[in-house]
Amino acid sequence: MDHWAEYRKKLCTSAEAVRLVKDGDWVDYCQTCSFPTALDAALAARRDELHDVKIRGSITMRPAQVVEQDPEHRAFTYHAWHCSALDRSYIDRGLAYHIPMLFRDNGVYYSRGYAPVNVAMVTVTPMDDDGYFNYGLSNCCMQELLDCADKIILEVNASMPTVYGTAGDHIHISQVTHVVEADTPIAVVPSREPDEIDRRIASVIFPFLYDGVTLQLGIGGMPNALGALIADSDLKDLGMHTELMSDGYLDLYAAGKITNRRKMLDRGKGIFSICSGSRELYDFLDGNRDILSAPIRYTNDPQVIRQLDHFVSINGCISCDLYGQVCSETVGTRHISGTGGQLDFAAGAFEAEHGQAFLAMASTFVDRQGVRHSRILPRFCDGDVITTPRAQVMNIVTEYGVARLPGLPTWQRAEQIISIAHPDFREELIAAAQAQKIWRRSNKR
Amino acid sequence: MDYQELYQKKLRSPDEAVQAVRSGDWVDLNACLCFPTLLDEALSRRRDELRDVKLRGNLILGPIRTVECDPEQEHFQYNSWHLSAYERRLFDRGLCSFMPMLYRDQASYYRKYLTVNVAMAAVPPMDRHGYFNLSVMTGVTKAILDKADVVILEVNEHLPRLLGGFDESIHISEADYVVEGAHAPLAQFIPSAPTEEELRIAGLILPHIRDGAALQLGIGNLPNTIGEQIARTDVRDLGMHTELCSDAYRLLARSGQLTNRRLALHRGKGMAGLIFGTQELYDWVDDNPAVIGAPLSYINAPEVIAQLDDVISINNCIAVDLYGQVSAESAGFRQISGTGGQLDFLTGAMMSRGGKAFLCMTSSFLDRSGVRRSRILPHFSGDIVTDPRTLAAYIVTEYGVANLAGRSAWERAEALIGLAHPDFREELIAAAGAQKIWRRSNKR
Repeated sequence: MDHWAEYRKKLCTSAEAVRLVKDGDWVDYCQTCSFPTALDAALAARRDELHDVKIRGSITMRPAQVVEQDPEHRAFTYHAWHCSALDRSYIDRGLAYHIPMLFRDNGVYYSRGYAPVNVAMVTVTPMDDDGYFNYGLSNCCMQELLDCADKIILEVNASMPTVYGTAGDHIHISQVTHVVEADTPIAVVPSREPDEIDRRIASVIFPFLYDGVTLQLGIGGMPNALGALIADSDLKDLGMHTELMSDGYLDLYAAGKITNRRKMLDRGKGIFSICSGSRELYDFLDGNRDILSAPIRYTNDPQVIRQLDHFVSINGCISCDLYGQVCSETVGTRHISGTGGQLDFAAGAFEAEHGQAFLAMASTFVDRQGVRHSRILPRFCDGDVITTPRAQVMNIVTEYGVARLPGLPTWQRAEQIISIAHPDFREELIAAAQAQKIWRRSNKR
Repeated sequence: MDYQELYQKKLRSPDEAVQAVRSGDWVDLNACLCFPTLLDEALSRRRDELRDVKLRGNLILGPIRTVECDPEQEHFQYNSWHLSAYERRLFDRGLCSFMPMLYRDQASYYRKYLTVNVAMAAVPPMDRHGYFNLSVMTGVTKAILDKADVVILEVNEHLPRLLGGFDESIHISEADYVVEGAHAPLAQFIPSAPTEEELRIAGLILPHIRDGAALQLGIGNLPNTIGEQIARTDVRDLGMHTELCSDAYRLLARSGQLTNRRLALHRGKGMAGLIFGTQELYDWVDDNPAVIGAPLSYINAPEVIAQLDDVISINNCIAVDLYGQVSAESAGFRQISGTGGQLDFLTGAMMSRGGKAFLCMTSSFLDRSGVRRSRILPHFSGDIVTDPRTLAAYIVTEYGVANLAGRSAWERAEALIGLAHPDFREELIAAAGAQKIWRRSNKR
């Protein structure tokens, strides 16, 4: 059959397409920019006739109607593999649940049947004349997800850029059940301006960079501040191998800092797996032959990362204890984000020749009452989830410096970590270290 | 030069050899049965002339004279990579600090970051080619000796010889001094009779072990029980790819079930980095071509484990919270053991085709006052998380097996509460509700 004839045959309205969903089903929205806005609204409209439909998303960028329209979650239960601010507020209000995962294994959960999918609904680019739809900004584990779905509904959106991938970047019209067309532009996220502490942390990390390093940057004010420092420096020939493509990289590309020329793998190409950011970023990626998307099982595989000599991984964290355990995803039992790729990159960067992994945070925060609290804690007592175990943490960074931990006994760890705490808290942390028997008489204050 | 001649040239009394240690030095005492007792004694005799000597060891069964002779730690300060029962008592007395590590990375800590002024290791007698075998501790010993400024070998006539693998021996030309002397027989780990819970846990895991599986069994009573139980089945052609070789493997070899024939790597060879068990075990591994020693940087590397199909990893843990976080090394901030290779094998088994990693514990325990406590907790308070919830897959208690991979918070809570002792299930459900990880449709 002619591809366009097949397309027209499978094309229907969102309301018609979501009739595929049955009681008890698992529905999957993939993530970030692949969120199917029109199908989500149509599914939510079936609220009164469906029961126990479980939906998986990740990094939800605009309100999920299955949540908003069903606050009692009588029909729908929403889940996130990794949380945006919106997902966080859903979880806080008891409207959604987190699914713990390692990004590198995200596809495995699908392909081994641990995370079943009855109906997949995802946003893709318009079809080309060969009958293919491109996955655009989310390579991630899209292929594993669609391969294990019983039924696939594509939401075609012309605002999704075409992004070439190393693998798993497209699907053919013959493999899908329905196609719907949508015209709401895909979501954008504003880039966060760095504050003073972000700039100080960035300036602590900056001296560890040199020509030819391959960078993995997380998202947020600090990576943006670091990006600005790099853009103004004479560093050159940097490489990009990252899970998340963000506006921080766009600035580095604009400044000519990223050539990927010295990378040990995928030489000459910047590699990412998922993307969210500004419209300008999406336009930059559209048809860009310099940058490829890759499956997250590749970008985040420690065995791949370790082959990239001079790899530098920089991610944010929320708190750490005096043993070097790092929490990057909860505050007490309150869920904030997720593990994402932090542990993948911590493991891979440590093993790379001349590799470095940094977990960065401000040494303190000020609560709503205006009271300052240390993010460096004697120990975790309130159910905080440990994202990176102490045996896999390489460097912890605050605006006061870097604590390098591998191979150190507890008393040296305590000394290193207290040295990067806010000065107001150092004495009480030393007292706690003593009570916890991890302070030696010769420890330096 | 003739090797015997070289040997004689390097031969010293223990008291002479430990003159190599200076104040402020980092001294490595190696691990477990390869701890050099004569050198330790000799070093302790130098207490009053030395200050601030930092010692590293690993699973040392004790007593360590340098530690016992200096409770004020003015002269010697001891650090362990993984606590034995003896080191745990030292820890409780404030005489031992813990060094967090992953076994697969331990050699790289030495190579990249650590100073070793003097390394001391017990070894079997030199062979005719001038080599000393690293015996029951091939795990990290070579990396430590390679890094040391001064290497002192203590010949222990009781240590068995392990064929390699690699990094299983050191040449006389690489040593600075050799000492000799009489040694007590090797310490043994004698498993006790299995409890009813252990038998039930073993029974739950057995159906997952298929012909040709590559087994990694951790330390302790439960792995031995599982070995004994497998020996009663007709599962065949098992393989050994493990950091620790215990008597369980000897039993399976005796029953003809451990052939290593289907291992995708090192066919016909069982591989281990550390051996600890009974004297019968030491006799079994001695010069046995079916058991080879290798470094843990290799054995425990997930990319190596991943090349083996049907890896079955079985380890103990202490407590699990409702999110699926696992503590296998501490109770609060009291250090019990260490991460060891548990996380390495969890990671590798997840990557192995058909691989499964089991973390096992009894659902509850009785505390000193006889009160029953659940090992499944709503959340942790100060416990060290050995395995993040993103890597812990199969959790086992005497009530069942739960696979948490890919499961959401409410599915995890439901599965874990199903493994809890019935006395605690209602309160765990209430906690899950308060922690917002209980869905209205969750099954009780």
